[in-house]
Amino acid sequence: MIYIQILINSILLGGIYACVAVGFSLVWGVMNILNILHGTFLMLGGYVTFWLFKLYGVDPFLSLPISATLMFVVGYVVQRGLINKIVRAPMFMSLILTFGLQMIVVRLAIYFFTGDYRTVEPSYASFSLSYFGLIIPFVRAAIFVLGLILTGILFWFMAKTRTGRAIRATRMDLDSAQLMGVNVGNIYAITYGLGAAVAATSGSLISVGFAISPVIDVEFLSKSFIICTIGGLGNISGALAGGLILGLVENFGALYFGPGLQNAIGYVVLILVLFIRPSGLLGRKGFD
Amino acid sequence: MFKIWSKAQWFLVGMGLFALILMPSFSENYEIRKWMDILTIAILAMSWNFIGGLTGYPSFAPAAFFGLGAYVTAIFMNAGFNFFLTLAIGSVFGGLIALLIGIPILRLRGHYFAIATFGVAEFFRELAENLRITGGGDGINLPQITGGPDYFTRFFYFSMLGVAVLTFLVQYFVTRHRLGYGLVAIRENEDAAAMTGIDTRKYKVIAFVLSSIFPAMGGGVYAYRAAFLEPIDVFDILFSIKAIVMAMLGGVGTVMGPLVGSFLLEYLTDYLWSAFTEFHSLFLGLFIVLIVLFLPRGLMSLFQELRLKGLRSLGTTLRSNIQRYRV
Repeated sequence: MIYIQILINSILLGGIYACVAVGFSLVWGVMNILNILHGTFLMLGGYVTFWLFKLYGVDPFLSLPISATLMFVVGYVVQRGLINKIVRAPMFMSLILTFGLQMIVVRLAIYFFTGDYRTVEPSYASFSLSYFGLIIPFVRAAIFVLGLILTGILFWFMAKTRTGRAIRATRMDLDSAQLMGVNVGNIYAITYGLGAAVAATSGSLISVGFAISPVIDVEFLSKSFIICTIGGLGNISGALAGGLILGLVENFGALYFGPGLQNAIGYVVLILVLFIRPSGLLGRKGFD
Repeated sequence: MFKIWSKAQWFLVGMGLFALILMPSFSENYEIRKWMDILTIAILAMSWNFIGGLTGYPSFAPAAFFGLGAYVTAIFMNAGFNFFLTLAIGSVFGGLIALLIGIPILRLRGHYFAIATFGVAEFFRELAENLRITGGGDGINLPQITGGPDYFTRFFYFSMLGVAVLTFLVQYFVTRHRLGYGLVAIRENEDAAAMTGIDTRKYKVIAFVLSSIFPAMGGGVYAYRAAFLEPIDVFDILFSIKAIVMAMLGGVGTVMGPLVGSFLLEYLTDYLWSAFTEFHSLFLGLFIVLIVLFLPRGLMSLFQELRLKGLRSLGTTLRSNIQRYRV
């Protein structure tokens, strides 16, 4: 029975991990940027939900579109105003730039929000479904479902819309896309904004089931690293698979090796996957 | 591309070293400690230059080996070994681990390599937090140094200076050696380098090992001075980031760049830090953003350009820097 319960927990956790990583994978895949700000957008999205709930009593699930829109705008501006200026530089430049921005934002967040751990607690926070002794917390299940829906929307957007096609074209060949009349600066900014919006939504979801603080960004950033590496870049199903695998590995690892080594096991899997299959389990060869 | 230095250049570097040696005779302990921190970062930046600057592999491993060296020194000093011997053990240990890790992960390129080194650093930290020999999350104590504060501040300063000088000399000779040219060839085009007969795998592993032994040594000195280690302190990924940023500010892949960068930036942030204690990381972040945007190729290349075009072209040079890599 405990194994089935852990399996359920892992899948619920894996769903939110997938949602966290999907935006990161998008930005990395399209622009070859290792976006250190990804966790920061997630953290800010969490705080949008928290403050809306605390100050105006807005239900956390209703504030999802607000935090997504807000962070889309912020992400668009950051890419257009700053990152676009160095996109063609050696790749670690964008990494360092986003790291510098992350330091600024996190420091300001600690100043304005304090370092306390916060959590959004709506009246239904403790509801749970139980079947045959298995417990499914309502909030976690809702987070899982919403995370999957969000990932699905992104998938649809990339596959079916004109902007999505432009993004994919830019990813394949920047210069050709430009010749076809794609405004690359704009497309890059939209892509980055989308990544930020998805991150912010998952942050909002996380603020309900888990605790948030200005420094949670590093934790979720490193999880995104691991998930994208396991799943492989450039496709949304990769992020889904990676998220689920990480959820399983962490939960069962904690069971066998003790909760202290939970994170260490994640890194071991990361390094193992890199040794065995550098392009990730579902990644296509040469896509880096 | 790397010229053997003229007598005048050696003279200037010698004067700088002379100043660093004499400095403690005229300075307060606080000032000496500050310079010791600058030297620590300079060691990390110069070491990063082997793998990141010359070879073009963006490594986040400096923090991993800094922490490794610190813990090796702590563990062996607690077992009664001499301090300088533990530094040697630490660097050998760091080199061996780098060799073991380097062979598989140097097959990766680009961001995948960056993430792998990041994973290594975080894995080491998690390990130190969970092993009994490292004291786990509670940390580990080292034997206290005997003697007054005047004595031990200078003792640690000169130890760190020694490691820094060693790193600098090795860096100088590597860049003037076949190895350095091979590494630059790998950075510019790895496949082409392999075609011309460079054993790229061997060269990359050597560069990775070189970039690991000096941080391990510096970590050892840091550990003895701190007298108490916690995983979160010494495996701080910020050590890696600082090393990269300092090298970038000076000029990636140049000999003097990392040194100039760390002296300048560390002094500057330290100055601002003492004025606005709470916002240290805010200022460092701002500097990083400004450096990446306006000096993507470092101060050394800016100096060269200014020497060619004159000081009046400073504005146009900075403006053209920000235009260089945009879409």
